[in-house]
Amino acid sequence: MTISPRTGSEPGPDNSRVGTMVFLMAGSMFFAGLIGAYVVLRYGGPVWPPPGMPPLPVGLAGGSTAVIALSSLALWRAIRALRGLDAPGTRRWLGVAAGLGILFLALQATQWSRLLARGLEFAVTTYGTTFYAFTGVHALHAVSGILWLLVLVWRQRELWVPERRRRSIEAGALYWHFVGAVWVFLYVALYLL
Amino acid sequence: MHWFPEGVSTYSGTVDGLFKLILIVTGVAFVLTEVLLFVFAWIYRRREGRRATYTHGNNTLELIWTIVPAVFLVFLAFASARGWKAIKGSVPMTDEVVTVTGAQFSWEFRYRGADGAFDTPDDVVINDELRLPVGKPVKIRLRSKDVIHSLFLPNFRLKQDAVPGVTIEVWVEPTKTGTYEIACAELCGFGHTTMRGTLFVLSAEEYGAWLAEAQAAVAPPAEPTAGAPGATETPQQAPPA
Amino acid sequence: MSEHETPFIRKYIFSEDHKVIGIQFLFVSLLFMIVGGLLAMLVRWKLGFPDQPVPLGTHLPFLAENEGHIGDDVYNMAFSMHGSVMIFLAIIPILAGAFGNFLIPLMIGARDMAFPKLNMLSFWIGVPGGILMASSFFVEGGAAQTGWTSYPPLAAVEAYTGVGTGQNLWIISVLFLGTASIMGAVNYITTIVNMRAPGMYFFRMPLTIWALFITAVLQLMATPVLASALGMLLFDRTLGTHFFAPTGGGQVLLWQHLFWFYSHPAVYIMILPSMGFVSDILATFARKPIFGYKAMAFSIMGIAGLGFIVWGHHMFQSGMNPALGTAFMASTMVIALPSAIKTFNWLGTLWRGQIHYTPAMMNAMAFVSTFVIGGLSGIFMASTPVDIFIHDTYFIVAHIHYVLFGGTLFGIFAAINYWFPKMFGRMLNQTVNTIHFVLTFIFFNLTFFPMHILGMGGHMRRISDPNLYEFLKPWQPWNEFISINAFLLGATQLLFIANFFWSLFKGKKADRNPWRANTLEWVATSPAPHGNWGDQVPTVYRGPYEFSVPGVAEDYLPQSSPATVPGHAPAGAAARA
Repeated sequence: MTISPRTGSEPGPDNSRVGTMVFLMAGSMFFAGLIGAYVVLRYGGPVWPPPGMPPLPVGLAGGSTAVIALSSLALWRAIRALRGLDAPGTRRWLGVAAGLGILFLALQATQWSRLLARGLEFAVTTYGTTFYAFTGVHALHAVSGILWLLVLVWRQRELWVPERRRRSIEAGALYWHFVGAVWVFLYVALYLL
Repeated sequence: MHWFPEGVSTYSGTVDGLFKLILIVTGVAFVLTEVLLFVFAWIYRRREGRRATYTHGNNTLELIWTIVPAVFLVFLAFASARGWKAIKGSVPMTDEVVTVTGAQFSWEFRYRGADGAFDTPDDVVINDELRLPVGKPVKIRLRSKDVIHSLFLPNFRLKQDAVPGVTIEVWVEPTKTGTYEIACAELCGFGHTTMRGTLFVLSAEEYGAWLAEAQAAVAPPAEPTAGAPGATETPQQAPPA
Repeated sequence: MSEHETPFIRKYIFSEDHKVIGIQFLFVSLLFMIVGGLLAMLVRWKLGFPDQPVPLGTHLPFLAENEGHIGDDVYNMAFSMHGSVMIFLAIIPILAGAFGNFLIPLMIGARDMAFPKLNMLSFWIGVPGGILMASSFFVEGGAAQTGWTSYPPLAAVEAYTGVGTGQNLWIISVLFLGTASIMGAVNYITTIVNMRAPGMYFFRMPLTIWALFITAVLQLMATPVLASALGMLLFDRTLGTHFFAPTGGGQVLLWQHLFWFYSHPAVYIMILPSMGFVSDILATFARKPIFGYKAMAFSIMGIAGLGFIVWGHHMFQSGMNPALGTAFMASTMVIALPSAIKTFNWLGTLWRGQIHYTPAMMNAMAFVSTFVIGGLSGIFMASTPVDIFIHDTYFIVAHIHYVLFGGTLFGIFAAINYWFPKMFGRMLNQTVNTIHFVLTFIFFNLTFFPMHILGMGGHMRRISDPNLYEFLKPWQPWNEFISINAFLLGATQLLFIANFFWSLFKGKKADRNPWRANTLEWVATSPAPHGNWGDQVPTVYRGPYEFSVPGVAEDYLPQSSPATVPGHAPAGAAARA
């Protein structure tokens, strides 16, 4: 009889990677709850948007969607640089991703100010509430992701990437891709359908 | 003693029959498992010189005790679906209609007046007393003014939540005259317990006489009123998901 | 590891050791269980003796202003907070926070959790949640009165109850507690996936770990949906939004869908760990392998998976489309099957065993006995037409308490009896806990079984004075009977509490493996040291249920013992995860 110790002796995905992916499953369920609520609210009533309410700026939001997609692309380049042991390249692309993230937020803020100016209020109709609340919650997640990236950019000044920071960059990248993916779902649900 | 309140609707037998069926089958399962548990607890208590039987299980048994309950549950599901469809799935054609509105903390029962329409000034409006004719299906249009209530007619095996913003239709056909109770079955605030009503099931003649008298007694309004008095003007929404 | 240098506050308050954190959760949840139990006593007083003032009530808050009587609003607060405290502050934290934390690394052969700091944080985020819930009693308007289910519009508009801050605190408290749950779930899942000892394949894990693992997945996936709903409710209450309002584009029933999407999996969160404990304890004290290990593991997964598609059975009478009701009935019928499978396998475990009657074993067997009743009563409510009658009656209350008290709580008593030596290095007094068990079992059944009868009689839930109803008056003696037994049940728990604290200091010192069990936690010392294993993490050679193996002199064969058995391949040697 032999024992074949599989567990614990081969390197598997490390804890921070597994933990981040598990955490993102929870995050997905949170946004699934929001989107589920949105579907019920939207199709449960007779007309959407309610009469007199401005339509959502599909084009502008399309722009912010493109920006956040590009930011994920930049982050993908950062990870490639990381795996290629190119610390300055990693830093550069992290910065680009963060910068595009900030641009994304600016475009979101522009949408908000435009809609507010056109009379879409927060509390009066669920049309307004779901728009501001759900894009707002998403924006909060985006802010935390951008801050994470900025801290990494600030700290990564060495010519190599310390192990702990490597894990943080990988986790942060997963998180940022998640934020982008959630936005795509929100864009489709809120604007396109 | 009677375990259930006396069943006096055309579908109380369906509900009670399903209950009894489940009681018999689960009763058998209950006796079987508990007897085995207690018997095993006694005969397999530890004794000197004995050793437990080393076994990891038996796949055939797993199959048997999966399939046997499954067969019963499938049968029960189909029988239940049939009953459910008959009771809640549709409302029979009938011209006996009552609008019931729950509010903190009383039931408003509303009958059409001579104009044959609801929510008009000649409606007969009574709080906490419902009168119905025996032997005729009645459609109940259930509403709420404020929070979720639930119309519970124990003797009729009828229960339906009243949801604000929606009018939900249910039906019942009494089979016996008498006086019965109405309760609210969804927590609706500190007066939930007191939201009690009385249901009088009358013979067709008595009911007709009562209704005619009640309609006649509705005083014409002092001034013409513009809209429906008292009723909640909430927009009709599509049936909730 | 220079343990003697760790300051007290890092070692016992802000500890990152899973065992310390587990014990922290244990103490806090047991405290809240007492609070929840006292609230139940209030409920039973009112129901049994609606017109009588509570003894000493003139000195108690909320009762004093009513000459010791329980007003209808106070009654609503009592049962609402009883449910909320028991579910969110007692049962879930004990199962996941206390036992999940304590047992997972020990039983899989890890030194600690994957993320010890996150673990510490999860406790210290839970604590404010508890404080907020407790403090809600002391604000103007008192604590929430809308049931643990908190349905809008009642719970969304202050004017409907007169409760303002109290309900808001309830919402925020549950958000904190849910966050702690999710953090814990991330830790448990990562730890079990990544940190099992050499040889600890998935199908060599004890069922306790399978149960805690799947429970963590449930917590991970379901709790965030509750969080989204709570946020919406808080917005409706404080920012004037209309998520659940009948006007402004809202949907009143949306809350129920979101709430039950979490809360149905939540009830499985509350039973699965106990099922796991019971499986391991039955096997240990019957000196037999668990019957049908793989079927048991797959049943846990089946219950969890199916648990996500049955939530509508709480909403059959809600006004939801009846066709949806039929769909949810079908899935609900199916979910009865894995529970039935587990029950038969527990019986199979006892069959031809050599049963040792320790308090742990007795409580575990009681779990099986009462879970049978709780599970079978569920079949009645799965049938949509029957549910028309029994929904929101005491039949449901009976079912809930048979599965949660009869099931979960007996499982918790069993688990505390079983693992106390490993936690504290001392034995609980067996005689006292045997008496506790017998009395609890008797009073429990006398309290809750009659509730089925009340439900059949049409006795509604959440009403404070049954005497108002003619059709309920004949049942009132049953209410009195139930209440008296409930008080006796409550009083009996003093035995357990006293034994627990006395044994902490004065109990007989425990051996490393007092129950002669097979799983890895019994390899560590009692109590286990920081890092659990000393120099050498154990290696696992077999499954966890090798009791009474033919050809082995002892009637147990630990997972980490390298002994080989001639002519016998250890179960699971070929079973790779």
